[in-house]
Amino acid sequence: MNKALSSGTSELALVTGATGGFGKAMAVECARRGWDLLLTDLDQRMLQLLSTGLSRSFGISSHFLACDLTRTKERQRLYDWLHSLHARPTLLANVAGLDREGAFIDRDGGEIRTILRLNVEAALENTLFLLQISDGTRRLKIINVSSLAAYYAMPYKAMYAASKGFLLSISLALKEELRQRASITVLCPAGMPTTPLSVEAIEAQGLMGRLTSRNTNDVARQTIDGAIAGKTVVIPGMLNRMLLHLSALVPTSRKAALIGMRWAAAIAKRTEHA
Amino acid sequence: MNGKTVVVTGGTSGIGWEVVRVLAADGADVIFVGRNQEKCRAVLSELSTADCRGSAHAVVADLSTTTGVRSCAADIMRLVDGKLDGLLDTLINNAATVSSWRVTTAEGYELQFAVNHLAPFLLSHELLPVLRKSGNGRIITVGSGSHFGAPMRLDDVMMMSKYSCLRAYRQSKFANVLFTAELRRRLHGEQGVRAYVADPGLVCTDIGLKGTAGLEKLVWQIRKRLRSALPPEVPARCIATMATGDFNPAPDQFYFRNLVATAPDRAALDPELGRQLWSLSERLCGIVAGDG
Repeated sequence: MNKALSSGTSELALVTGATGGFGKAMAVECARRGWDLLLTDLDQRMLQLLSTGLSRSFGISSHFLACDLTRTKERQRLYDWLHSLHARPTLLANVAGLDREGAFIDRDGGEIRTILRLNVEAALENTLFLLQISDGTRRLKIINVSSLAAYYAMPYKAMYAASKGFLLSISLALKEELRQRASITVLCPAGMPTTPLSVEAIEAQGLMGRLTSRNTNDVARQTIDGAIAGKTVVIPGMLNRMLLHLSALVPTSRKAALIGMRWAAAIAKRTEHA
Repeated sequence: MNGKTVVVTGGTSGIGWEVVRVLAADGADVIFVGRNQEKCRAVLSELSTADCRGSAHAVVADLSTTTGVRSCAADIMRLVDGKLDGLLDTLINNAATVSSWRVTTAEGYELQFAVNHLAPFLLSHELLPVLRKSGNGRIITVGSGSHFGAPMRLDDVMMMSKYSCLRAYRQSKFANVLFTAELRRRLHGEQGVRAYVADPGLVCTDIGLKGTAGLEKLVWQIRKRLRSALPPEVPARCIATMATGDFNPAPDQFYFRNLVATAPDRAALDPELGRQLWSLSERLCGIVAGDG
């Protein structure tokens, strides 16, 4: 932690999932713009490293709290912490999210609860809390990180795609409800090289993977530019937007069957190699 | 090399591993740094069966963060003070990386800049006091001919806009030369420590195959298979000689290729540019290194 939080005209951004690939890119992009930061994620040490690095790089003020957003009490601890700092974030980036790949029948109750609590419940409750503490002098910018998966029913990634679909749907609805008080921008990216595993997954898709994927910092910049411009949905990459429009011509059940075949083959291939 | 203590970063593969092997065989006490514990064990095991007159010690460290570099320096010092004679003769900054995608470290720094430049900068700073104590210390940073003509974007050193794998790599290698030139200026011709850059030339290593894909990977594969590409043991032998040999090059000729001292890119000798990079590196590492 360092100098006092921003006041006046600069933004104060709350970023969840801040030490993960895209969360980190969002935190870096906010810091590059000179905005002060409130960061949260699970790992205290990683938060400390990022917070220190961004303060050194950009001279901003960065505060952090390690907490598990899947737990109600932990979320309350986050809100109490914001109160204690007298912090009223002007931008909320709901980045924290989980993906679980594989057959639904192989999941257990804990996994189902965790993914829904993080991808859906935490994002909504964070949004509600910030709306409630907003004093109305500054219009709150909310960025919800969804996925291109939000547009499809995805066998073997069913809970993830459905949770992202929920986030897309509610973002579009709240945008209309909150027009005067807040702007909501929902990001629907394709693959991003955020971790060695995601890089592997992108490379495994060959040329298509490389063409549809974008560097995380470019996506973060585009997302924040979109939020400032009041854009509702940001889909990075012209090819991704084109493919999405084309896919609208295919019936939903047919798309689900095609995606199911693709993921089943990928999982079988990976099991074979394991 | 008998009785000399040498630190080699990136010592588990490529040129670094060959440097470790040559130095240990010639009687040096080598402390090598690697990221992967298993690979470090494998190197120790291989050296234990080889005909070595010296000794080898492993330090497992992640050089992508400044805390990782500091912890690495502390581990090295523990070894130097404990098992060895309390003196360190040479630091060889060899570890480097390449990445097709723009990846950031835990501190939010661009990976190639962090590993290829900030890590050597900070490790040199941390080990400088003990290198001075030896009376004839060396800091050898493994550079690359790709630094010639490389642009240095100090206003966007992490390449947040228009990232290019090759440009980021070349910039980091230019930074190695700029850092060495500035370090030499700050040492004011002090005889206790000398700083050089070793250009290994075109070498058959896997450095460009680990974090790359697509066109970049193809370019590195072709590069590796070129007939003119040297096996890593050739530059390794030169670097090992630089670790202890007596050289007295002209002030600007600290850039060695095949043990021949030459001048690097003239732009890397610019004192103002060197001062600016030094000051930026200090800020990013959270230190005030001052005069070396």
